[in-house]
Amino acid sequence: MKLTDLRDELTSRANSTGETPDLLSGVHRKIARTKRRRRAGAAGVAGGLAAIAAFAFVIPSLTTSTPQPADDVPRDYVKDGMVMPGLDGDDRLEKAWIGDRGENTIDFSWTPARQVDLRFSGLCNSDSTQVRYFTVWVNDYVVGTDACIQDEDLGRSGIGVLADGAMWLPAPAGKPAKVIAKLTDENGRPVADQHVQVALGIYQSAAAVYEGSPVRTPPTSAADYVKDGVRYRAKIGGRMLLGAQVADQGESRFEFTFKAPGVAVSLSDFCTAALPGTDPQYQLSVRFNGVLVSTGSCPANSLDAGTGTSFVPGVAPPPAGQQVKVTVQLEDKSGRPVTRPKDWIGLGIYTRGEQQIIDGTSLAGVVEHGGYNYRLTEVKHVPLTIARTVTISTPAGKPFLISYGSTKSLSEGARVSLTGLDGGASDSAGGVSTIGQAAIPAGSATATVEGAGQNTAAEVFVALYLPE
Amino acid sequence: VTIDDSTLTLRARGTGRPVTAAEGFDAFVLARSRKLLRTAYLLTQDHALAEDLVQTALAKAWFAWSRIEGGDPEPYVRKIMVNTYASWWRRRWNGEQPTEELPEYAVPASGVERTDVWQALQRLPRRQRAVVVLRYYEDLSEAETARVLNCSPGTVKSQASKAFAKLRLDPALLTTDTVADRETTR
Repeated sequence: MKLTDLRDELTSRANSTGETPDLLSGVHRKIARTKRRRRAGAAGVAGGLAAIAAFAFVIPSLTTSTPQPADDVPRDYVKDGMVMPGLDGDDRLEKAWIGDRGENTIDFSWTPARQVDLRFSGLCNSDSTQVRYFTVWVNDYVVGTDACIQDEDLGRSGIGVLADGAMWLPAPAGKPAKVIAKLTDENGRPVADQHVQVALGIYQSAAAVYEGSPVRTPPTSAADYVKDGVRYRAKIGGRMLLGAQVADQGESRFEFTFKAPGVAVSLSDFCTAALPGTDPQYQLSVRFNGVLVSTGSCPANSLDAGTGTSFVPGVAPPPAGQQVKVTVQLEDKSGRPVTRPKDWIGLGIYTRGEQQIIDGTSLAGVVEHGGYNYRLTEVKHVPLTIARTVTISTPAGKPFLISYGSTKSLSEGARVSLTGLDGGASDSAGGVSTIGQAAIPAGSATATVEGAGQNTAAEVFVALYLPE
Repeated sequence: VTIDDSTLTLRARGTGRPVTAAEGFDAFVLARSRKLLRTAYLLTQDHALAEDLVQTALAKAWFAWSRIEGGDPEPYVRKIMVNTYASWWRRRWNGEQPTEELPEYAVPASGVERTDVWQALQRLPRRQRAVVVLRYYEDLSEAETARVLNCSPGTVKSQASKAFAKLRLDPALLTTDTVADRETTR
């Protein structure tokens, strides 16, 4: 492709916009709406300041208060014409703060009422059109970084924290927490700008509507390992808990033992040590009887610590019945032990459960998806030297999972696609992918490999899981 | 207010009086919407989102209309539009998933199709796509592009270079000559 090809493509695509629609009326509507919001904000501030001044000596915190939670519709939070809407879609404002112009860091106290799904939304009021970002900490826990929106039409933007998110560990419901929001770049590095006014809203997220297979909070049991709210469930899908430990806050090393099952185990680590940005600064090392078996990066995502990413050590499993001493150490990214007084670390060790082997690739006999268990009921597979497509029948009237992919790595550029489910085709570069499907009429799902060489020594497969 | 000379001249001739700021704004919208919409479409690759983006940028510009310096508001509006596109990306462009690492795609058997280039552009990170659109559709210089994106000309240069590197490696375009090799410096 030549540069002229690129220019031609851009010009051709741009010209495809055809007749220009009437944009002016829409622009006027947006202007009018913004004006109304600003007037409402200014009136609220003017009326409120007199009352606040009268009572400020009695309850100083009123000058920095937020909408009352008892309202059916949360009120907008306003200051200097900036508006943090009380309702953003169906999400309700729990707490808001608006700093002064040029104040690039704002901090305030917040007592979360309940452990629910939340969203932290940032507003940046500025004459500049430069993209700004904000980074949020709650009790020193890094919640995340996101774009700072320039108008109050938030559109449910921001950083999401789930009800089982790790943030709830340092900031439990019912206890005051310190919230800090800083103007930063997209990697969390502080940015100074005397012309920006920063606002932060904490929204309680409305219940999400899922279109795929059903979703619920997975059941717990008395056999679970639980400490400080971090839970390693005794059973997750077909995985059974062999041993787990969560260290005290600030403890950077711990040990425990488990009885080896004689086969490979899977590890689920937990670590809240993280700094802003995408480059992990800390990691957890795991040793079996003094031998390093893995390192995993922080941070933790969920207090349901056995879910999410788990990994299988590449070393030979210890003999069955052996008591294995596990040592877990928090390290910097160079492998040097470090101490983080405000963080937690933990590790859970699970059996992998029943597996079905297809051309050397393991498919779990039982998997958990959306809080429900599904059992492997049928697998269809065929060598790529024979065929490129394999199809499996899917049932009517019940949700199911489809796993599909290739049993070995494919050449660069090759893809495995899956058709037959709601939502159109999916594809992957190989390996095992799993998709949940809500109940639909009986049909079929087809996996197809494209772009792989004629002599590729792999198989294409498609597997069906049904609810247990 | 000096906006689009041709449009304003027509309006002034028709009414026989100087245009007001509001009339000037409306005239600007009518005169420049098409051009802005084209750029917005190249950024969003979606006609409806492009309209929304242009309207939002114009509405934001309205509040600063009397303070716009330098005569022509278009660079200011374009700047708002490009940066609004970047800041809205997370919340409105949910269907788009640009990646730092190029996903793998099958290499087409034949030469470059228009859809290949379009899809390769879609896979660029949004800032790099903005640089490509401003430099090679809007035909802005590195310095002008830098002013729109509030960054240094060096950053524009490096972003353009990275964009071309990604395009060069994009599997959909692998069978073709590279762009970077043929890029000329303005």
